[in-house]
Amino acid sequence: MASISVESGLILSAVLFGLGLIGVLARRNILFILLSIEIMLNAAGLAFVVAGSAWQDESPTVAASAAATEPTTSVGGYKESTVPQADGQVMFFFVLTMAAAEVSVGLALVLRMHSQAGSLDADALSRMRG
Amino acid sequence: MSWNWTMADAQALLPLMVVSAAAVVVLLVLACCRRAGVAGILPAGETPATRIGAVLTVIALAAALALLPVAGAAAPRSVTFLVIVDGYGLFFAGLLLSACIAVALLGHSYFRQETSAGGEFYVLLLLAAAGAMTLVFSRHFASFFLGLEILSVSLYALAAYNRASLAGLEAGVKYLVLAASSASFLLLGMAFVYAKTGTMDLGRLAQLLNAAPQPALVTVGLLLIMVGVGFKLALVPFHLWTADVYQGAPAAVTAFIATVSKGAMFALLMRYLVGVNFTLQYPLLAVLTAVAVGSMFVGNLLALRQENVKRLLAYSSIAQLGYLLVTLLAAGPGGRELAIRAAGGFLAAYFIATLGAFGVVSLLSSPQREAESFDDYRGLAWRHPVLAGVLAAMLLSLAGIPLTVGFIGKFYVLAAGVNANLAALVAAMVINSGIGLYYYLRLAIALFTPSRAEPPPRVAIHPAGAAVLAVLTVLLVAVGVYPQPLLRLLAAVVAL
Amino acid sequence: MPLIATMPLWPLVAYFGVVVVMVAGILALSWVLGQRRRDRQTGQPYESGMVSTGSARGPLSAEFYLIAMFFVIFDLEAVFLFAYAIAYDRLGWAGYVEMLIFVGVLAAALGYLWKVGALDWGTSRYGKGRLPTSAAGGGDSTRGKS
Repeated sequence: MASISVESGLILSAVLFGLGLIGVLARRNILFILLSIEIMLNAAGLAFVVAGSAWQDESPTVAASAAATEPTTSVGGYKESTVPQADGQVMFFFVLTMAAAEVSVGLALVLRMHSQAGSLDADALSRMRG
Repeated sequence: MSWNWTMADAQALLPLMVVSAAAVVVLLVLACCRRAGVAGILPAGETPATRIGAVLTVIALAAALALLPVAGAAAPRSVTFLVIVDGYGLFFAGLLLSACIAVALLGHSYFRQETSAGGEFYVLLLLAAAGAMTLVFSRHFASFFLGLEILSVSLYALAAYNRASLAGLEAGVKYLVLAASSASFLLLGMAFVYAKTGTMDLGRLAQLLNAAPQPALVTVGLLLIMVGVGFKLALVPFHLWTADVYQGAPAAVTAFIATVSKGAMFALLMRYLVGVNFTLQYPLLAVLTAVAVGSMFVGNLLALRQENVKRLLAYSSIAQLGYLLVTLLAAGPGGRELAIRAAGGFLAAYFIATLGAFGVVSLLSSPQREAESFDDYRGLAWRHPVLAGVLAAMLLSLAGIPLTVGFIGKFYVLAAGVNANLAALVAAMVINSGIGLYYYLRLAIALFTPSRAEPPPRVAIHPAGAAVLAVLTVLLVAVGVYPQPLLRLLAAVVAL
Repeated sequence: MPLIATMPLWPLVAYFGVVVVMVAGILALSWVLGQRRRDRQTGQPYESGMVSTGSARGPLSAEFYLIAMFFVIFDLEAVFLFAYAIAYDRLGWAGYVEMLIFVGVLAAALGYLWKVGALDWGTSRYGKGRLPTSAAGGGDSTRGKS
């Protein structure tokens, strides 16, 4: 199977990100705004996975060289190892977790909007001016 | 990848661990005493949950503050490749923790009568504090992002914490939507930078930036990251949320957003951009300069005609962050030390004055009614002479009048700007200080003009909030008159 | 990804083709063989059962939002457990202790939710008189349904 280039992966994630952004800007229902934000976050996550796959065969010499050039800081007890970098994938985990936290606080606010403002329309809530 | 904890690692991380553990402990204690009904021991009108939460939180934050020198004994030390504990970080962590203590006490006096609000305010506050400290200590994209998100997600809930208020709900929703969008910009930018450079280490990235002009993808990535950072700092053009969130959130939370959240983000930005040779990164320099000048002018001009005190302070904070950016641009390869000292001094002054100003607003407000319009403050000198005096002092400090700490901060920033030959930025700053003087004095004078309207209901001042304001006022004047201790501390920080 | 790279692609295509042919065949056969009539009840759902009333878009109980929130959060934390399980031997005791702290924090959060009453369903919590009052605990859920 032919491998996909990093550039096309990044372009895909940028397109997805743009779609999410349009959703955030154009939608008025708060649930759809939250949905669009999820798309944006996952687009960024996809970009991380793509970037991570580009560097996965690299042993973590980059971090090691960074440590070598900073003489004032000692890097704990790290041993040099030949484990491939998984940084991109790890960041994707963090993105997922954070998206979950964000969406649950979002849902809690949606519940309050429904009970207090009686509407899920983002514009109906907007009262502050000046 | 194996990695062994050493005692020194634990020692360096101790303040952060105390704050994080405190969040879990307070959560569990609240869950238990919610039903236990300790109400008999406590004075009427205060729910046990809020009282216990407040006491535990302040103890934990103070303990973390006291442990900073202990951590400093192990500094500079990088614990895993995510976190670095050094003098710079410890100074800002100290600043943030002190501000958190002030916010906890202000929040306690604000929410004391609210029986429906549990003590979750303090859990969220501790979590936000842990996030802010992680930001200050972070040296990797992952810890940067995690710290930022722990801070942000707690703030969504805090902004909407006042259950009775529709404005609070609006503030929470607006903050959530915009902060989450800006966080995704930040993430996309990080992914772009990582795709091209193969490193997520911030120190390593700063070196790369210094070595050579970077390819377009990295520049685009950095600009996307700046969207996320600019949002958090409420810099023009990402300032649109500021006034609404500041107005809608409870005043104590507003004080937190204006100080801790911004201070932590700026400390991170400063740490890695301060040494960068901007002549190699021209797009970044142009954007940052435009953002700084824009923030000063937009913030000050919008504040001019403002009739709502919380919004006025919101716009003023946008302008203040514009001044602060000057230190960043002034650094260059040679002026690193002066720039860090200027930023530290300015931020300390900004923290004191902003906490004080929002503290007065918070003490005059209650969950049922926010004291935010100019009418609430007209003639305040007759109703609450001391509070009026404190607020006036804070406003003068924000304006940068001599004998206040604000003057020291502003003077330092101007010195850094002049030292780096940033004529345009320094000129913009001087013009804006003039504009700022107008609206700060307008509010200050309103405090002392008799009001013909029906005076707003008199509120009882809680001793916790009063103590915070007393300490802040003493600091404001003492450091303003005799700044040497602060200057020595800053010099020591840069050296460490 | 050596495993995926070496696998031939044609079985997947063949499988896809078989699925398409099969579904099309079933639909075509039932169209050819089946009888067609157009009576009063034909277009309705539950042709042979009760007559449906009202709109299907009624409001959902707000408690479902609560389940959704808890699910999203607790489910995602499992991701980290899986990641740890892959490398538990290499992470050693430090990793083990870190995972213990992680699970401990999760358990504390669960305990909090339990105590606050967020896990109580239906009307039982009104009887016990301990309405959740937290911002996070979802006290609004009781008023959220309309």
